[in-house]
Amino acid sequence: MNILGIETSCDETSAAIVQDGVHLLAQVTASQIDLHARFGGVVPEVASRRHVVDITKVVEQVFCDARMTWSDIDAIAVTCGPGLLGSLLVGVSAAKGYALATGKPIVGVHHIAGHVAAAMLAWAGGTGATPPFLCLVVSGGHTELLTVDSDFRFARLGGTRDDAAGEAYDKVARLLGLAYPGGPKVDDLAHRGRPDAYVFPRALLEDDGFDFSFSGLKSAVNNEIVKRRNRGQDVSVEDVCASFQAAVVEVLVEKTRRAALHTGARTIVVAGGVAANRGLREAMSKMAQALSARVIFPPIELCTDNAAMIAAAAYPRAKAGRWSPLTLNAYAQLPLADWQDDHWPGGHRLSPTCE
Amino acid sequence: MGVIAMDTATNALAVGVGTRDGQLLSGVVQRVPRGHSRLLQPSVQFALASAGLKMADVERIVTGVGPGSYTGVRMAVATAKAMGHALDVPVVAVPTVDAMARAAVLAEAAEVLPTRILVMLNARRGCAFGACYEHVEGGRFVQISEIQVLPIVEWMHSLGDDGRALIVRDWAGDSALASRAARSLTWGSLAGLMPQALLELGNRPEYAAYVGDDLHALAPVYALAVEAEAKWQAASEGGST
Ligand SMILES: [Zn+2]
Repeated sequence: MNILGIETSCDETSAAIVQDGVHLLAQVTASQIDLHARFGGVVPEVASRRHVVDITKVVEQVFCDARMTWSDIDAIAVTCGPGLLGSLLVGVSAAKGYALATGKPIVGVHHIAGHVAAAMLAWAGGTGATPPFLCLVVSGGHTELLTVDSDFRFARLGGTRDDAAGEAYDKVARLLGLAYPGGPKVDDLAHRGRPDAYVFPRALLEDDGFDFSFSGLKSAVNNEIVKRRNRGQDVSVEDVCASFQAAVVEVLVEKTRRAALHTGARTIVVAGGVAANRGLREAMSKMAQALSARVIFPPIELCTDNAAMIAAAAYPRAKAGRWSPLTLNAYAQLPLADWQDDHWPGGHRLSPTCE
Repeated sequence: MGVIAMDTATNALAVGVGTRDGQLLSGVVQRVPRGHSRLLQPSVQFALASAGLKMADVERIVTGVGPGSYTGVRMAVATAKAMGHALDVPVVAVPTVDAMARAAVLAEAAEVLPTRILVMLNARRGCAFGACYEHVEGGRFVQISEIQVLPIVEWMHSLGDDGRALIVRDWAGDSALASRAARSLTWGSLAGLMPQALLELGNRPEYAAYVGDDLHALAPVYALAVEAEAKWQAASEGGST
């Protein structure tokens, strides 16, 4: 079964064709990073405007790259939430337009389910993860600990109470005057600094639950910088990055370790944009080794937002014939549990179409 | 052989299916708050089936391209682009305000047509997206001001003073508007004619048809820069002097 995936939830316009939820046949992503860099972050209206121009281009190119036509496609998958509403609506509108014009069935996909499914894709040198597994999703918008069962159903163990881990990276990068997007730069600089140079808080580490909190970290970093500068001391950007990253990584890894022990999971998946972080990859691998568990990171290019992960996440539903109706909408907020049970915000119940 | 027309830039979702010469066969107009995204494609499907046409019969798609609600206008444009792309048929871009003016003409008796039509969509802070049209002959109107955002008081200057102008606006009340113009109509009373208006204009050669590689470039008419971009532009110009 070949699924055309479409993803426009933030600032990447992406289309991909995935076979049987596992084999990525082609993917084309129009990145808007350069467009938003001068604003120091994603401007939603700018993103939406660019999506409208790029959406048919990436679809055209992906068919070209895969050497396929519509007759090779069995279904269309599209991110329907959560994300930037204006951006999501472009992808959902286009996907429904394609579905209507071609008669192909459509599956609305939860963005987080997509990030998780990125780990289920096969890639060079890797077979991908097969559920059940434990999953940590870390990105600019999300920090979630989830269990995924063999039917690709999710149970939430915990998540961030305030900022996402990636958000903390971006905020600290901005404090340090690093150009947008700053997260990867913090990771790079951290490798040249001393992780014990400064002591930053490990929020909720003593807490038994699986929740996170990263909002205090930015203020702690800011206070430390101000304090040192007022004393006339030098502040090493590398040391700040290393110490900050050590705090974030320790909390993420420790909570994941406890979750693995709690659930008895033998496979741990780390997905989302921050899963590209080298510091996190190293620490998580070490922890998993100590537990003799397997840890799987999607390849870096599948960690950031992409359409392949959306097509992969749609596959279990497509296989079961759980199509979305043409009334599919886009949702800025969409709880994972509601999506998997076809409960839509606003009281709409999304029943699979009968046709 | 048929044509599909759609517009989502105003509070009325409008869909029409017609013949290739612009005659309406089936029209759907829905004024469901926040319903455009859910209802657009099902409405197209319904209108097409009602007209007894199949997707393979569609030879042209017409889409309203705004200005109006930013988020709204993109729904029809993205849908029309995807459909045009998949079906490999031309997509005709018709400014929403042009179609609104056409809807007003359709509602008027031919012998008492207004001399000018001012179309306005609320852009808040006393401003409106709009355009002004003048009657040339035989019920044909031409745009005499470019599509833009202006303070409503400035728009009122474009009405002329023969007392035979008509205002079409998407907000209720505001009696001051009617006093200078001969009449003032709310969009709600005219929106039912939007499918027909879109189909008629979509048949006119002056509107660009996007097809093949050109289709990708089709984008809404926003009539306003994004605030962040405008600020950035102003700052970088200020810095370079
Ligand atoms: Zn994401």
